[in-house]
Parts: sequence; C-alpha cells; structure tokens
Amino acid sequence: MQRRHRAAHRRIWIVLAALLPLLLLGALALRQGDPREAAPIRLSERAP
Amino acid sequence: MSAKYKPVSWTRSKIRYDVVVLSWIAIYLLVYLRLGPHLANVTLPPDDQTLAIKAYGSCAFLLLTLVLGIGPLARLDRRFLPVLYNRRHLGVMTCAVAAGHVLAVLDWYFAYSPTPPLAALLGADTSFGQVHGFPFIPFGLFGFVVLLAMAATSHDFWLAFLTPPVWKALHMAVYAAYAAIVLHVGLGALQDARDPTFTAVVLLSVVALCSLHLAAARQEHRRDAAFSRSAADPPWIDAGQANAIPESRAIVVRLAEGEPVAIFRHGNHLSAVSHVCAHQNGPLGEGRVVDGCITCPWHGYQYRLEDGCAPPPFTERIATYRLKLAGGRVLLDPRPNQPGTRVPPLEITA
Repeated sequence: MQRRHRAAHRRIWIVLAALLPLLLLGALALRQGDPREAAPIRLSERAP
Repeated sequence: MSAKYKPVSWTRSKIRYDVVVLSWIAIYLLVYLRLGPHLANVTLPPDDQTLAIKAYGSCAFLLLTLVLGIGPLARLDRRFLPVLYNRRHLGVMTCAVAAGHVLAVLDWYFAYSPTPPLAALLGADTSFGQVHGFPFIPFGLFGFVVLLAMAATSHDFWLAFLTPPVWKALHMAVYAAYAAIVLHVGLGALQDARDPTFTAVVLLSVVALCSLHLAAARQEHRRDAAFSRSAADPPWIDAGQANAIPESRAIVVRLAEGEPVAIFRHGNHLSAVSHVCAHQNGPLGEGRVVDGCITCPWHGYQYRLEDGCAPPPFTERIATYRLKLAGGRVLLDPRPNQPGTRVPPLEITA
C-alpha cells in the first residue's frame, strides 16, 4: 500500500473508531425499556 | 493483463477458499434457523420469516466485519496474507447474504403493501425525534447499495476499465457503508434485542475492528517515520554475489523497514524493484522475466526492468531501487525511488 493510501486509511479509521462505539452506546443507552405496568384505566362511573 | 473481459481464473486455492467460506455460511444459517428458536429466552419464539431476516442480517454483518478485518490482520501478521488474496470472493459472498436479508425483509413486511416496496421500505419508520422507531432502514439500504456496487465491480475487468484510482476510490466507500450498517444495526436490531449476547457481539466486533485498524495504522506510521529518519543516509545493503542470481529470476531482499525488494537478473544486467505487485500485492520476486518484462506470478501483470512501469497502454508502476557492485557483490540502496523512476540496469560480468 502506498503511503498516501495508508494515511487516508489511518484518518478514516481514527474517525470511525471515535464515532462508531459512541453511536452504538448512545443508541443502547436511549433504547426503550421493557414495557412497564400500564396506568390503571378508570372506568367512567355510571351516573346514578 | 488486459482490459478485455477474462473469466475468473480458478485455482485450487481459490476453490478451497470458497468452499470453506460457503460451508461456514451454510453452517451459521442452519444453526441460527434451527437452534435459534430454542436458544431465545422469550415466551413466544419468532416466526420463521423473522428468524430468516435476523439470520441473514447477522451473518452479513459478521462477514462484513471479517472482510474489513482481513486487511489490518495481514498487515500486522503476514501469516494472514493468504486470506487477503481472495478477499474479493468473501466480499461478493457478503453481498449475496445481505441480498438474502433484503429480500426476506421485502417479502415479509412489504409483500402485500399497496405502495411500491421500496417506497414502503423507506417510509416505514418516521419517528425522527426518538431512537425507537427512528428510520434505520435507509442506512441499511445505503450499505447494501455500496456492497452491490463493489460486488458488481470486483472483477479485474472493472479495475482495468475504471482505472485503479477510480476503482480504489469506489471501493473505499465500503467504510461509509460499514458506518451506515452499524447505525442500521444500532437503531434497528439492537433496539428490540433483549438478548445480551447479540448486543455484546455487535459491540465487541465494532471495537475489535476499530482496534485492529488503529493498531495496523500505528505500526505502519511508526515504520514510515523510522524509514524517513533513516532515509537521510542509509547504508547500502549487501544482497550477495551477483552471479548467484539465476537468469530471468530474482532474489528477494527483506529490509528492516519498508517493503521487500526483488533484484532481477536479465542477461548480464541487474535491476531492483519493489517485491510487491501494484495489482494485488502479489510477490513479484517469485515471478520471472518474460519478453524483457518482470511478470507477476499471480495474474501476469508486467513491469519493465529499467523503470518499473507496466508497458503501454497499462499504467501500473512500482518503486525502483539503485544498485552497485563492489568486489562481485551486489549492493542495494534501501531508499525506494518514486514508482516509475528510471534506473539504468547494473551491468555485471557473465
């Protein structure tokens, strides 16, 4: 591999190594949690 | 060496390589499809189609990680070079498995869609304001299109037709494709995955791949820097007796820094060039001189002895080196000339 080509590869992977794990961890951190217990549904009280 | 189309020249090693890779792909898919439902810790196992989508998708992701990891592995340890030589075959297989994933998605989710499948695919998720439901499919589609373009142009015909700079630039797009596919997985499959194994595999593969590339880049950067420092006034290297080099063949001199050098003998003349072919890094020093040109043993790429240039109309060039004689021994200047630099062949006595 020529030097210029190697330098381009090096720059690309420095950027990817910084970005990709961060993006993945961010996506994991923000992922929706398991379904929780739903709020109780109030049935309308029948008018007397 | 021609811009005309030539079929892939199958060799025993290529066939063995493809058989091994195809077998592993088949085993992975079978294990995933057969054992996956039993291993999943869920009340309701996924249906067959969903399982197929996940099997093809995860297989394509792992194959792509492997394809991208072969380059730095081979640069860090030369024992991985044989895996590098047929990497294009692995890339084409990755694209085929990814196509299986795309087709399975279209068949399962959009087969009965009243809108065209592609439009339905791109408009499936519209929650731009949150991670869950974020449109992750366009990232995967972009990655697939790049893989498809690379697989379609992976043959040597396209390398010659597009010229190496354009072809290399096109194939560098695989990094953008990889980033897009990581986003596709992170915003898609990982959002629903409750199985920590899958999450761990994705995370570890991304970290391992980035680490490999950084380690290889660091090693090469150090080597280049050391070579630049020593290039100011390097000692000439004793390459042995001039008459020990067989006619039309070469000896290979491995330098402490930089690429190995092949010293060819043609009649009573010696010429030194890079041992590495500009086409696919083939071992030029294991080739021979045919019709006055150095001929790579792998694909027959040729270079002139005096300047390392491929004969017209071809444009490949390799680095040349200076030689001198001292008491019947050949001395090599380890500083490479720019590829294509003319160096008059060194005359020796028969």
